[in-house]
Amino acid sequence: MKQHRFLSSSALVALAVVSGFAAQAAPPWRHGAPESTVNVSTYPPDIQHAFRVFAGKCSECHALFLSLNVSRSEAGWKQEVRRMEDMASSHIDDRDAGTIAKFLAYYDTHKPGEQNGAGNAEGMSTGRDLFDKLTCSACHSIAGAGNNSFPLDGIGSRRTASELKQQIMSPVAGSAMPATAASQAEIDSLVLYLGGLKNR
Amino acid sequence: MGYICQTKKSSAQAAFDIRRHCLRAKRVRSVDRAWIEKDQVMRFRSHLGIFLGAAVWLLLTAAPRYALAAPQYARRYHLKCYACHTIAPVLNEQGYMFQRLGHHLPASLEPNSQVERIIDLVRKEPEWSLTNNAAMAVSDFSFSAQRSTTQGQAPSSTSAIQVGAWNAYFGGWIPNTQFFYYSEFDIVTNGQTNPNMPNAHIGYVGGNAKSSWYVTVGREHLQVTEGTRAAEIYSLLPTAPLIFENKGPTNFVLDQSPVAAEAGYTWSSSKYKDIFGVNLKVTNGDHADGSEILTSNSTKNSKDVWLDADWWYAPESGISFVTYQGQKNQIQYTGLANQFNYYGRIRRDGAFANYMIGRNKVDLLTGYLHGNDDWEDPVTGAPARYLSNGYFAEIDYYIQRGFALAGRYDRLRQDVTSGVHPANLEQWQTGVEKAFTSEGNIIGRVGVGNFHGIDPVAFTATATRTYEADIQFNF
Ligand code: HEC
Ligand code: HEC
Repeated sequence: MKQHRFLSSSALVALAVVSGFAAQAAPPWRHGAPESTVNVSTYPPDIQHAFRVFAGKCSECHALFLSLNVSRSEAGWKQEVRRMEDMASSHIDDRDAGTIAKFLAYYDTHKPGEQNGAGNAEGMSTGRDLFDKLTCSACHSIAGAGNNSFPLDGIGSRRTASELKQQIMSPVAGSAMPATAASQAEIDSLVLYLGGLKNR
Repeated sequence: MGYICQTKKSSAQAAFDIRRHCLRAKRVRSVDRAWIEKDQVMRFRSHLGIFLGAAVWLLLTAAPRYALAAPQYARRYHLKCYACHTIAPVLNEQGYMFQRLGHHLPASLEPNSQVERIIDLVRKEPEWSLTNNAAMAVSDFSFSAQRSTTQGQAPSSTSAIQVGAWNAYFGGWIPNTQFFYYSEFDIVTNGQTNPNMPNAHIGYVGGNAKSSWYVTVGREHLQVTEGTRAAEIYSLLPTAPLIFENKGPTNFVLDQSPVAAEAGYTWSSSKYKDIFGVNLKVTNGDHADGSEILTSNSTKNSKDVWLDADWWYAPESGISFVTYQGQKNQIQYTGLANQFNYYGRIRRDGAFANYMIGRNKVDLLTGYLHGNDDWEDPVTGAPARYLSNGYFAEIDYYIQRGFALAGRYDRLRQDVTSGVHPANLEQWQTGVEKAFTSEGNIIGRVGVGNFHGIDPVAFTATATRTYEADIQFNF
């Protein structure tokens, strides 16, 4: 009997640990990240079709979010999709790849400002929105939008995620850049977005 | 003597559990059964409570925010389980590479572009945190029902609900270095609280994404997920192939976990069209359980060498060759009048292959393993050999992502040369597996299996039909 009580209590402890992990571990943008928040009803039929291919193939290994949250040129998307196609266990073929790149390139230039990437239930803004909301754009620009003194285009190729995080949370002392008041979750989301801004 | 050791429970962590169960408990089936019957009511109540508690907790927390949980590697890169598994814990090619690159994601290998060095992969890692280095797997809230017939005994039926395994994993990389580590801490194993740490090793990985090597030292089991798909001890079905399970009187997967040193080399062609891997592992277990060769009350030392060569020759299809030699030194009946020493050697050689048809649609798997061990007749003490030839054939049909049907047939022919004649064991199993989250980290499984055969030493026939259902949570 003792054994069983021990089992139950250890199980409860484990549960608590697990819940702790789970709560801490889930980046907020992931909660309920819907696989298809993109409203494509106003897009041309071939793009709607391309979206379905994209939604099917590109949700295999990660949420669509990861793709919708970053911006690339058309050539950039071709390259990114080829990279995904060439992963060891990918099931994407050349035809799908062309279709998907077409959708992503189209989507990039037709993203509704509000719903840039996927918003979610908790109303978390996405990286691009945060860039404006947290007034990063007062000093930095991305793709020409914002203050052009310190463009951040291609920052994802120059800085790792942890460097970005470091910069945002505690900018070099004496620098013109202020430390942000953003929440941890917002910073994560911002880092993810900035990390996605690769050189073309 | 001559137990047939089959796990009575399904388990997603099959490999470890099976091994531990067989090696440590090493019960004859009927004993096992008596134990279940005696304890059943109590166990049922206590586990039902946990089960319901967990279900409620899950509904309250996990379900509405379905994506809250994923083990550390997935967490680290915001990936789903499918990035590295067909269905967890069965690894795909990417998962295999991830493991061999010291737990770093393989870089893309475009034909004419520069190959990234391991240190470049390390630099691309996100910031180190506890949550992307630790995980919890609670497997096996299982229900199982079994009906067995053993020659000379009345048929019996049992059923049980239990929590099979609570395991914590800690694994990742040491920031800014090419060192990595992995450990597993088991709290509950086969429904029993029995804390222990079967794995704890540290490694170093060098080279680049195309051509890399690694070394590890620490506590380690043989054959955990080494090899291409068919040689992997994990499978979609509740139990591993018979040849991996310890059906024979001398056991294949001998548990010499105390200290191991391993070295491996991996080479990939561009776009990972072909991947070659070899690894060599040497283990030394001072108190490794070698008692399966003779009886208990012995001091043991076990030295083993394992060599594995893999070739992934097409997307998700591969071939593995394995050879294993073990020296099991024992001082039997320590301190008793009839004490004697026994230096048994065991050897296994095998070939495994799988072929994936379509883009992850139908996976055909097969494996063959030959055994040739020293054997001493437990009654007369006459030296003899234990020979075995085992094979399996399996079909996995992936209906859609995270949903699969699987079926396997297993046959093991065993011959103890001092015995009367060879004896066969046969097993078939079918099952359905389904993931309940889009991440693929909560997985349910239902299976039916039939095992029958003859013990090669005692020559008693056994038949068992098993129905099981289980659910596994990975956080
Ligand atoms: C076989 C699994 C797999 C599939 C399928 C897949 N990805 Fe990925 N994706 C990954 C992995 C692994 C990473 C993270 C590592 C990396 O960026 O190399 C990733 C990262 C990304 C990123 C982030 C890159 C960055 O710079 O941060 C984007 C964007 C992306 N994927 C887009 C896509 C698109 C678009 C598709 C569909 C064509 C797709 N993925 C399909 C595995 C996959
Ligand atoms: C008041 C102006 C100002 C604001 C507001 C500002 N920054 Fe900066 N930021 C700078 C300056 C100036 C630098 C140049 C490096 C330095 O001096 O530290 C910089 C550097 C950076 C860098 C590193 C660039 C590189 O090439 O390594 C990143 C990333 C960055 N900022 C992100 C942000 C983000 C995200 C926000 C919004 C939360 C933000 N910045 C808000 C002024 C600003």
